[in-house]
Amino acid sequence: MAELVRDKHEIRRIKTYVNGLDENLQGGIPEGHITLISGAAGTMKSSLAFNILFHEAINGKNALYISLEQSAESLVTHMINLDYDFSKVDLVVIKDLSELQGRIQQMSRDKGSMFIIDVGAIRKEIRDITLDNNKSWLNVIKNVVKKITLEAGAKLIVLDSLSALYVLTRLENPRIELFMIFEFLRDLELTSFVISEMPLDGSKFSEYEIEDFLSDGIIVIKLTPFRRQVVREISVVKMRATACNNDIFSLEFKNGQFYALYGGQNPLL
Amino acid sequence: MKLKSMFAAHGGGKIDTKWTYDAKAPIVSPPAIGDLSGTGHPHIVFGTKKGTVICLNHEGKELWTFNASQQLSQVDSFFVDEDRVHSIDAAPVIADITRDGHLEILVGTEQGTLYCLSANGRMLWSHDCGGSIKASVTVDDINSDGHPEILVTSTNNKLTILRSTGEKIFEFMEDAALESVPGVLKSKKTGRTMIVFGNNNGELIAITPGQEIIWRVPLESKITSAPTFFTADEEDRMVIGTHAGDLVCLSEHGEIVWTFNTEGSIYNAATVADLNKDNDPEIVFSSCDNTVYAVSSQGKRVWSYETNFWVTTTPIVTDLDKDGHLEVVVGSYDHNLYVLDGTGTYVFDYVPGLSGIVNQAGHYSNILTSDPGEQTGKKIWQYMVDSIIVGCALLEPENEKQLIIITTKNGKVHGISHEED
Repeated sequence: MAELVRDKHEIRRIKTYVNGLDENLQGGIPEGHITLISGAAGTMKSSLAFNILFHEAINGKNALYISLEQSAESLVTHMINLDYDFSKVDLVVIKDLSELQGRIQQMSRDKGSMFIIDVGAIRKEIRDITLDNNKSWLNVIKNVVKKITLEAGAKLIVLDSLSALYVLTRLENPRIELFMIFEFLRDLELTSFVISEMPLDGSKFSEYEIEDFLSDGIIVIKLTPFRRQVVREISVVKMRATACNNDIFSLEFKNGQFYALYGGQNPLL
Repeated sequence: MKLKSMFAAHGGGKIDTKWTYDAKAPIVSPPAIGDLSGTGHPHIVFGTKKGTVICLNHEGKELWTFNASQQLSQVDSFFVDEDRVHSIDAAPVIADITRDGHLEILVGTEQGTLYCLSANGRMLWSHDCGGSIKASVTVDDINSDGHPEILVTSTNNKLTILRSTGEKIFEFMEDAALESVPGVLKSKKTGRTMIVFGNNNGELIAITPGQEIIWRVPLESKITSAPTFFTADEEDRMVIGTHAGDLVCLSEHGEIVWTFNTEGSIYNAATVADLNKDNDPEIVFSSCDNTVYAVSSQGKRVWSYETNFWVTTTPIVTDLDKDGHLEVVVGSYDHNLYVLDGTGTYVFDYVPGLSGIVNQAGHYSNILTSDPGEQTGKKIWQYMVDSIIVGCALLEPENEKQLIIITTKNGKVHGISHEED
């Protein structure tokens, strides 16, 4: 159980590594928070979340990226194309559950380890196994997270994405089960980033909307058409325990870095 | 937390702990009681969430344990909820299934295995149902061949009928998971035997021992309790609770006779007893609207008693203090065991003007047209333990006082008895 802080300066924060945004978040997101990163397709939600884990791994922390649909190869290729240098971290890709224990034992002691759990590959590997009532993919995700947190000392996690989780696990009672999933992450004291696919019309941040209340923070990324150009815009809708600037910034990625530029609703004007 | 005993306002003596046993693992189901040694001192058998079956004697001393958990492969272990995978969710059943004069124990597991154990905890046989067993089994000679059959429901939509040797006779498939205890009704009028069970789609189904569907009644929400059978107006009746909070009374033909609504889910079976000795049975049941209800065989409320949290245990009806009056015993999620007067008590409503306060809403004509009060539940004793009460059972040793055996979520088993002042 996390200890109660007595002074606001005791709140430890994780940087978003978005230049211009951390300055508007008192330095970052409080450790142990669950943050929803919400946006439509193509808004760089996964890249933004990956960017946080990658930089924290460079700083020596161990982190876990659970990709429920996109393959590890596709994800890594995409990040390499964005000029991420994977020699700076210990990249551990898990595609077979039976390898997990061994890979934890072999993880680097010198660099921060970044585990990518390729759930799609795991599903293909064991597609012939019939799941009966007491077996579920939600259990797989929880057991992997628990094992890597407790045995590999992971401090951060990205769950990509909630929409894929819903398809995979068919939650019977989303309100109760989501509460339990979020509490599970809190109990492990993980700083969590949960990716939520937002409809194109931006009418809601998450599928059931209860996720908005359960999470400690919501970062929204939108694609905004302007004349014949499309710009990305980022805003922090909510961040508990943080005096944050809720303004809308334009989000740009240049030279391997994210930037939040103060430009208002129409940054090109 | 220290156990606390509270003296009754209107009952003689008190109830107090005789002994406590710590299973060192959470318990989520009630205990079963049976005289395994034939000495007149019944035993207590229960399962834990870690998959251990434990047998205690009537003094709370552990006699044997049986490990019902099964090892999983490294990959399989990722797919299960490790907190639940070995759990024993339902009360074991103690019965002489082999008709050899010795009792056997039947216990089902989350992993879907039904174990038959001897009185000393040795495995006689096991059967893999393929889906989690969430409900106690029923033992009854459904085909009148002189040998009892075992009826077990599982979450892979199956009702399985086994011989006493563990061989499968047949499986009846449903469209939804089964988590209810099957009941067996032998009609007094027609002599027909029917197996009655509910499914998670909220249907109550009656089939013959030959697997023919007699009737299927939609009751709107999940059914996990067992049907309780009784006779009213010389007709066979059954009551069953639903997760929508309805206690539904049906005829043996599947016609709904009456429905009694509560505000909370009804998880377990009702108890039928003639509480007020008027030769007409009352039905006592608990609901997750925090309340214990006694209703008449016609579905009218007799009394109700509200605790501070959900009540899921099947009520026990007994004369605990041997004063000739029946008591109703229930355990609540509020950590308390309640012993209630079987007949309740009459409480007068406030009558405007008569209490000396004249400026009240209401009219004097109400006095002439409405009941002056209502029958309500009356608590005789209350006993607090240190966790949620998940099960109660009655242990009646020969020539000794009755014991209420309660199991609690934190893994304790308490033997509680009535003591004179």
